[in-house]
Amino acid sequence: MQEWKPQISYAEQFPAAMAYVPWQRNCNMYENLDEAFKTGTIFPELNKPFLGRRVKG
Amino acid sequence: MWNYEKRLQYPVKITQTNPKIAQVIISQYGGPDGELAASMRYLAQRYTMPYNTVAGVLTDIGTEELAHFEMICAIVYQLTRNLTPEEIKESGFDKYYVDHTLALWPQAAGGIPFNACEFQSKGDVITDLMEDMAAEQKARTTYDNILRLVKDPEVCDPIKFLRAREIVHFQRFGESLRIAQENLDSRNFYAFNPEFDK
Amino acid sequence: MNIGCKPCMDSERQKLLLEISKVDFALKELNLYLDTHPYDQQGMENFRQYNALKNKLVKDYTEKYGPLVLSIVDMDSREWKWATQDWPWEGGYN
Repeated sequence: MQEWKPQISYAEQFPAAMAYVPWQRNCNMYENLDEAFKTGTIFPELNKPFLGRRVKG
Repeated sequence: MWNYEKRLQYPVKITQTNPKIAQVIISQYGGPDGELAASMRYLAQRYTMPYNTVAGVLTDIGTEELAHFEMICAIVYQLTRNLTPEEIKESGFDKYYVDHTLALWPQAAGGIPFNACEFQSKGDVITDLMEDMAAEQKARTTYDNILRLVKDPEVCDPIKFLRAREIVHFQRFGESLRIAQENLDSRNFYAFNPEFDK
Repeated sequence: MNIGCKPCMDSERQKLLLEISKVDFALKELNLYLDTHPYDQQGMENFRQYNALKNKLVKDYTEKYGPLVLSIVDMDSREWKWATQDWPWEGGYN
């Protein structure tokens, strides 16, 4: 599970003609299970709610 | 093999029937980007997946999707409970009702029945994982579309839960693709298919 | 408009079932996380703890109200509650 390494160039680490999803960086869980359950994930990093409009800033 | 737990993954308690919205939500049961298609897709792809951890992801997400189509069926069932013939005619639900009464049957909102053409199991590690990532995004978009149409909080609540699951699944399939890449030569990921070539 | 779901009559029962669902949800999330992070010791420890909690809650629920899984069934009962009690899509207790 390696993330970006300074010694290897970006192009070498992620060659072209392929897709790369970053590893989950923050493996902290919600402290409150109620909140996690309602949200639909125990990981705040993966909480991406639908707003239906662009958010400025 | 599978066991059953007598409980929905997330509660569904809908007090107001609404056959109009039920006709839309049924797409997440039998539609091309729905939960049943997702489950069948992942459970089919897992047999020839050469990496144990990725076969684990396919099995465990495939199993969770069974619980999701159960939730969708519970939503549609509660939205159409005890409808009168007048309510059925008035809402346009009559076209579904004539063939199925109030029973659940897997079809898309537009009427196309569930079928295996709604998913692919291509037998190539990279291709199948890309298919799976796309499937999760398609499901997420379908839930976005539903959330624009539905205002009843009792319906929105389980729908928002199901939508959030798609994003988590996308992350896990993305990580599975990274695992596959680690097992291949980065100078040319496409030189051979580890599911077939030696 | 009609009532879609069956009402839930016993709030204590619903509360316990909700607790089980929340703990099981954490387990599912950890399950998927560990599938792609198979050597994460903290994740495995969290899984063990939640699993022990879930087993205890399910045993409690089964004794008080009825079975959730076939592997934990009240063998003293004279009624096969697995089949006679309502199913979760009815909305009463789910």
